[in-house]
Amino acid sequence: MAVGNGMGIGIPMVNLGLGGGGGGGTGFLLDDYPNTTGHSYSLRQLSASTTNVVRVRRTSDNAEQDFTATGLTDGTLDLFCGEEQGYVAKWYDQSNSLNVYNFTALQQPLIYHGEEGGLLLQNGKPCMEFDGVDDTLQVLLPAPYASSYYLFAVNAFVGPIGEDKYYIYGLNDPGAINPTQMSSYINQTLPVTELKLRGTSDLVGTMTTNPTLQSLYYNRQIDSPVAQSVVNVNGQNISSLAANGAKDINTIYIGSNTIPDGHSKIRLQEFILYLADPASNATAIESNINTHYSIY
Amino acid sequence: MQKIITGYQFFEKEIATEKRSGLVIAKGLPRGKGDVTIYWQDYEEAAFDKPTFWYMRYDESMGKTMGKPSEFKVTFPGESEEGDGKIPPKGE
Repeated sequence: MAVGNGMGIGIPMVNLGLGGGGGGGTGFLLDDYPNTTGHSYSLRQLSASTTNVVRVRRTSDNAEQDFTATGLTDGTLDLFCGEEQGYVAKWYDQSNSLNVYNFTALQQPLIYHGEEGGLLLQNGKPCMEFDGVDDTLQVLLPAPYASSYYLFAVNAFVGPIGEDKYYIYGLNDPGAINPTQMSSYINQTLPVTELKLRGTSDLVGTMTTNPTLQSLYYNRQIDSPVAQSVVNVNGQNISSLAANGAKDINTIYIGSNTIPDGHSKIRLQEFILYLADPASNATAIESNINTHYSIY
Repeated sequence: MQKIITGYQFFEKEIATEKRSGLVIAKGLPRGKGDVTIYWQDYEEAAFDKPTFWYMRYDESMGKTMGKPSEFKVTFPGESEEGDGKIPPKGE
C-alpha cells in the first residue's frame, strides 16, 4: 500500500496567494486557518506546502498516478487517462497525512470520464462523483475520537433527491450501528429539502437552496461548555440542537454513512474536518471556500 | 430492513476470499508496487443474517471470472423501509 502523504518536505516557499483567496489572508486556506490536529481533503491546493492532492487509477491498465491540483486541470490528467476513466484511489490529507482511500477498484469514486468531457467539474471546479451503490473513501483514525469537531464540505447531491437519505459522510462509532452522518432528502409530507444529522438523535433543518446544486455545509459538533450541533448551509444557519448524542468516532467514511447500504450519489470537492475550534475563523473559512468555489 | 442484492453469495468466508483473489489475478492487480488498489471487488459480510454469509455486489466486469450472478436478500441496520428494497448493480 502506498504511504505517500501529499505534503511537501518543508522547504520555505513564498506564498503567491494562488490558493483561491478569501478572508484577506495569504491565500491558501490552511496557511491562513491551520488545521493542525484535523484532516483536510480537497481537489484544490489548501497549503503552500501541499504537493499531491489525489491519486488516480485509470481503467485502461489500472495504473495509478499522483496529481497536484494544477495537474488535474493543466492536461496532465487528460494525458494519463486519455479516453478511459479515472477513479480516485486515494485522497490526500493536506493537514496530517491521514489519507482516505479505497483498496477496491469498483468502490472508488469517479474523477475523470474520457468519453464524456474528461475531468468531472461541478460549477466549473474539479469534483469526484460517488456512485451511490458502494463507492467510499475511508480511513481508520489512529485512535477513537470523542470530542468536538467542525466540518466544512463542498458537495452536490446528484439528483433527483428522493425520500431516501443521501449522505455526504459518516463518522463511524465503534459500535458501527449508529453513525454520525450528514444527509439530505425530500421529506414525504413537506415539499422542502431537509438536512439530517444523526447521532443518537436527529437534527433536522430546512434548506432554502437546492441540494443538487453545489453547496457549502458547515457542521459544528460541540461538547462544551454546552453540547450543541449546528448546521450551516451556504453561510446560513439552518438548524441547531442542544445535544446530538454520542460523537465517539473511529473511522471517517466519505460517500457513505458507514452502514453497508448507506451510500449516496454525490459530487464532492472539499471535506475539511477541524478537530480544534476554528472559533471566529469559521466565518472566514466559509468565506474562503465560497470565494474559491463561487457557491453563493 | 432487507434489500435484494444482485451478486454472488458465499456461505464460507474462505470461499469469498478465494473468489476475491481470483478477480485480483484476472485484473492484474496491483498494477504497480505501492499502488492503493489491491482488489477489483471486495466482499461484504451479511452480519445481520443468520446464518451469516458473505457476498460480492455484481458488476458486469466480473461476469467472465465469476459467472452469472444471482439475487438474494441481505439484512441491513438501515432506517428506511421505503422503496422496493432493491439495490441495482453498478452501472445501471
